Amino acid sequence: MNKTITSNIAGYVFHIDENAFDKLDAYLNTIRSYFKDSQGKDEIIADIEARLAEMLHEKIGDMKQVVSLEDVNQVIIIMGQPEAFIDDDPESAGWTEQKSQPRDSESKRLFRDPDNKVIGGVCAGVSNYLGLGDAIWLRLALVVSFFFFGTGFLLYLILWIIIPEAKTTADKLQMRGENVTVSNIEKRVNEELGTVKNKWNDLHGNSGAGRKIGNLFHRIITLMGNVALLLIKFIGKIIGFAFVVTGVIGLLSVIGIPFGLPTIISLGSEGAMSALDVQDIFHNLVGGDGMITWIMITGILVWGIPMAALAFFGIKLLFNFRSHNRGIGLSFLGLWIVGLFMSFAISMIVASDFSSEGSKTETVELQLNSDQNQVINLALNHELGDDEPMFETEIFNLNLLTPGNSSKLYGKPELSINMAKTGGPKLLITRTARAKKKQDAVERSSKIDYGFAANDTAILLNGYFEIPEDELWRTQEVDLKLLIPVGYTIYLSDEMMQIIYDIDNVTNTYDGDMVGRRWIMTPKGLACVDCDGLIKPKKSSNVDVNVDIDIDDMNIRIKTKEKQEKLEIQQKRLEEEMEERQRELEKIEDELEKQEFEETEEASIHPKEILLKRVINATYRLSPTISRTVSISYPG
Amino acid sequence: MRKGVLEYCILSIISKEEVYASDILATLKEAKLIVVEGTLYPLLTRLKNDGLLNYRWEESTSGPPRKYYGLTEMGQKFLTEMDTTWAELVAAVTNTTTSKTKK
Repeated sequence: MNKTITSNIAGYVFHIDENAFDKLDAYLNTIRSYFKDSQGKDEIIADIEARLAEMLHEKIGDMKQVVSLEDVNQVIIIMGQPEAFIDDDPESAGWTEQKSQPRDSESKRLFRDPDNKVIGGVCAGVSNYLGLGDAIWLRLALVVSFFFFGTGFLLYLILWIIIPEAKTTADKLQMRGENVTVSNIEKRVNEELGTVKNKWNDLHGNSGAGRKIGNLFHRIITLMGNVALLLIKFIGKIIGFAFVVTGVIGLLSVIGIPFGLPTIISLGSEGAMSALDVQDIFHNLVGGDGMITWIMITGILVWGIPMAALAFFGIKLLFNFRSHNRGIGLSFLGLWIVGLFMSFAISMIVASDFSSEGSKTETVELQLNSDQNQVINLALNHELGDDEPMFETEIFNLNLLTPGNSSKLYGKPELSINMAKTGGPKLLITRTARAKKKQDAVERSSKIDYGFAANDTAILLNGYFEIPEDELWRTQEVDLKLLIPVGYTIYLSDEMMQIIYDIDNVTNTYDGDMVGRRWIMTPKGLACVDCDGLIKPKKSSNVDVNVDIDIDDMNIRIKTKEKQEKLEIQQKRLEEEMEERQRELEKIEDELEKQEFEETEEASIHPKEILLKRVINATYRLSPTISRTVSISYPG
Repeated sequence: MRKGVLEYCILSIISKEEVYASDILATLKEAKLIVVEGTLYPLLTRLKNDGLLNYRWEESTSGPPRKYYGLTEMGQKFLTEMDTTWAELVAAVTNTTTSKTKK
């Protein structure tokens, strides 16, 4: 059973089987395309169509009703294939002038050569095009370039895809840069069969001296023109080549990242960032393998397509390669725009996960030596234990460390030092992170791994906080706040420089100058114990001043004489401070006396004892400053 | 060469009476001058474009109107010229071939 189509062919109405109709339609299309350059093609086709209809009509007669495939086949055989129409036409000029023109092709066209191919015929085709003769040299060069990050491989693939194969004889002629005419085919055969001598004679036969000189001027002009033309072409080729190289490198780098290939990018930046790192960064930034795939696709679309287009354009420049396929170009443009939208969407999704900030503060009471004369040592622990970084990249103010084959994110905490208004010394650890919802952000912040160690005289802070491997980077931060009561003295070791951030102090000393010194908490803030405070000391001051600290006796001997004057000033300042304290003390005593007056009236407790106790307390609070100031002595 | 001969034949067929494509085809096929019918149509079109022949539409009893071809004045002149050339050619060829066989 067959579907039939009712068709009007040149005025006849036919019921025609679907397959027969398709065949007929295809046949007419072949003829149409064959005569597309001829004059009066419409007429020819109309005539042929009419004749076909006539023949079919005869075939059907009165008995049959439907045109079958066989009918169509027979009619087509009678009409013949279009090639046969003109095939026997070597002297096409005939008596009337031949109007149909051979396809004009002065320049060579680039085709893949299927006759001399090894893989895809790319090398053979390009050799034909460039006139290199044997393709072996190009093949050799290509094989060598395989070892340069596979550049040759990719280039070959691209060429393979975009260069069409020479399928017909006409293509093959064009590939070799010859016009596709019948006479040319004949000529080629003749050339091959005929003597080489003839050719040689053609070129050099008329070598009369006079004629040569006469032609000389003309020749020079032609030569100059040719040279100029060649130069322009050459520049075009160089630009084309540059485009190809840039495009291929760009394409390689974008395709390389998903596969973790060592790319040009990684080599270019002094090995600071490998493709793996890029992948890890994306992974930590975006999260989720599905998302990564989308990012890769987007990256290839947004970055790869322009690169491929650049390479393609370069190839076109390089080989005069013409492409008429606008559809492919437009669809790639469409894909690129899709890629842009995708990247926008992904950015929105990722950005939404940064929208809320959440934090949690942990308060740790420090069991420091209650002896307030004790200096508390603040030091930094750089060690990461087993996770000692193999490779470090700093991005987003964050360190991406690659221990072995895994990668972890580490950040640096920030430390500030403040006065403890109440209670003993404390360390406040505030972990902050971001997420879509606040509670998730808090939850995420609690996963930040940070630790420290403390004993009664020292606090050892970790130099890094760690974001667990399965956690995403969401601007995690750790803020450390060391609260110390008035009277405590701390020593900031040099490496603390890395984490301290704008620590308030009475002398407004810059962070960098705060390290390597001891600081005492006064009611006004941190005051420097062993720096001059007025002139910001250079780092080398540690060498100049030889400080000998005898903690037990609280005797500080400064052996450098030049520093004495400055220290005297400092001492004076401290003494002034002490006087101030004493005035405060007197005030308190006055108040207490008033209280005592009231108390004596109300109750019969020993008022003197209460007074004494309070005075002792007050004094005790101030005592470290006082005692220390007093005990500074100068042996010189 | 062959196409030239074919054109000559077509013109001479048309010169006798006004014909339509199928008549020309029948004659040419009988003489085994063409193998496939498709050959005819480009030739007809070319001859028409060169102003050697024209056609008119004629109603047909068995189907749609048909094209009937006839020679133009120029075609007539051209054909007369061709006749002479052909005669000369035939004579020349005969001369050559027969003289060869005599030798």
